[in-house]
Amino acid sequence: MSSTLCCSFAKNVTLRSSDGQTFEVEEAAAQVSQTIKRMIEDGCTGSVIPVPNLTGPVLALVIEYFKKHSPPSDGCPTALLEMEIKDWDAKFVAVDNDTLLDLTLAAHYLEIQGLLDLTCHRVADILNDNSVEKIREIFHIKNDFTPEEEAEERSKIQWAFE
Amino acid sequence: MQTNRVRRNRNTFYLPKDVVRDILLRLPVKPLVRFRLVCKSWSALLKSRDFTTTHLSRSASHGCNHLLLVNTQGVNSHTMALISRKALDVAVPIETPEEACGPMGMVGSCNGLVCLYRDWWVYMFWNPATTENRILPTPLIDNPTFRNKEIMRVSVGFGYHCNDYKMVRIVYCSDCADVEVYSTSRGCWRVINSILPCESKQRTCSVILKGVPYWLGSASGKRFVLSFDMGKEVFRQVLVPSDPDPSYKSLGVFNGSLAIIYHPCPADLVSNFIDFWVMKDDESWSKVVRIGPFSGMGFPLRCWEDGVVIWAQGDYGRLLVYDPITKSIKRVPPMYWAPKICTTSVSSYIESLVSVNGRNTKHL
Repeated sequence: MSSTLCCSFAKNVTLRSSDGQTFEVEEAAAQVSQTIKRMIEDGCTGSVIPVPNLTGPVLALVIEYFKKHSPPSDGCPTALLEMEIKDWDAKFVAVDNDTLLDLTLAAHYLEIQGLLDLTCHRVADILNDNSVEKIREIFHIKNDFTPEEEAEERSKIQWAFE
Repeated sequence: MQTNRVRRNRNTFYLPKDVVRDILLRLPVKPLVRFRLVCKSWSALLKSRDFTTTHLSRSASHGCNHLLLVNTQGVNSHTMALISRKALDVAVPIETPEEACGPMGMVGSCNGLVCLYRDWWVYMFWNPATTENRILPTPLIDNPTFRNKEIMRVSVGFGYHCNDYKMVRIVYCSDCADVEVYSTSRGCWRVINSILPCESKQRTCSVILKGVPYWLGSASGKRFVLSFDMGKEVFRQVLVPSDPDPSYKSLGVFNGSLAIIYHPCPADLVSNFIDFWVMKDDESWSKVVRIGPFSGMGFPLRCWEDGVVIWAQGDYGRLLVYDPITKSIKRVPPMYWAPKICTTSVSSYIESLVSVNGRNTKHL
């Protein structure tokens, strides 16, 4: 059966983002998310599935990921396809830090293990070479050490900054 | 689906704790130590026992840290270097702590902690990745007047049980052996009444595997592998595989199992094979592979990983290494920072955050 034919028989579901945008996506593709899979199994398919943690633009990106990672109709991905997906993945997470963190959160909430691995790995790569100050900026973390506490702690681990 | 936990504007953005943890677990030790300064919650997470343990097992299972620690012990000084499985002919020097002065030898390494010794009574736990170190208190059986017995020699082992890092110190006197144990959980030495089933002439254990130290030993003319169970604090022994005696033997590791390597014909040093035997179920041996012949190589020091064999050449910590993939011998260039005349010891090593005090805090 060709993929076009397959699509014409495929069931779709509708996802609604926190800001009210709706997206239609193949049920099989959406089930890349364990959270959505459970909702479909629980019989939520008749109505719109709310995704309250994700804004429209983020949900649109996640749906791109769904489509790329939905199980192939013949059930057996080729090595070539796997390589192509790997390349696609690398480009997919080559985004600005805020978008990357949005995708990380989305993967967490929607339980998309592949995407969570991909984004966490990319965030870790970014963190590896950055200063403490830059990390706080990327994660929007407030420094809750007093200057004295920070100086004391820093003096103990000076070597790690060299 | 979870309720909305993300609050997002320019100043506040929260990644759930377990996602932050998942990201940080992927980083090497050095940035993780640096990131203790990011904020208090990161500091607590990165110092926690749970994080340390998970980070360690993740590093081990990802195989990104197949490293060999090389110690050279000279008359007045010592050096340490690292060799990676991926580049067997490159030795990278690493600095030892200021407190580790003089001719420090290496007992061995497990879970990223290294145990060093000097003389018969100075011992240090050291984490090269975090640079943390701790000199152990003076052993109880520390001088010739202990119980008015004359100390002939000392043999030590290092290992762990659960999160408790321990040293076992066997003190051989003229007619008996006394045993004492140091543990990070107690922070002191204790003399124990464990029966030593056989003697070992080795000054330190040969190998530490899954927290258990192993020595080659002998009793009543038979050769044994001696081990010390760090949990139950008892010695065990297993006969070495039968072989045409006399034959040179050395303990090591082969693909994660305890291994013993034999020179089947020790008299023939010109051209000799090496047989690998691997221990099964803690009690029996099976011969897995024969490599060689090697010409004029002398006795190997240790086997490691997937069949790597290491020979020490004495001066400047010069090493020869057999690579089982290319079936070739590689030369580690002389480590000119090492003493010219030295004893070399090696131990497999993995980077970790494990504290030398065994005090990674419990954290939820």
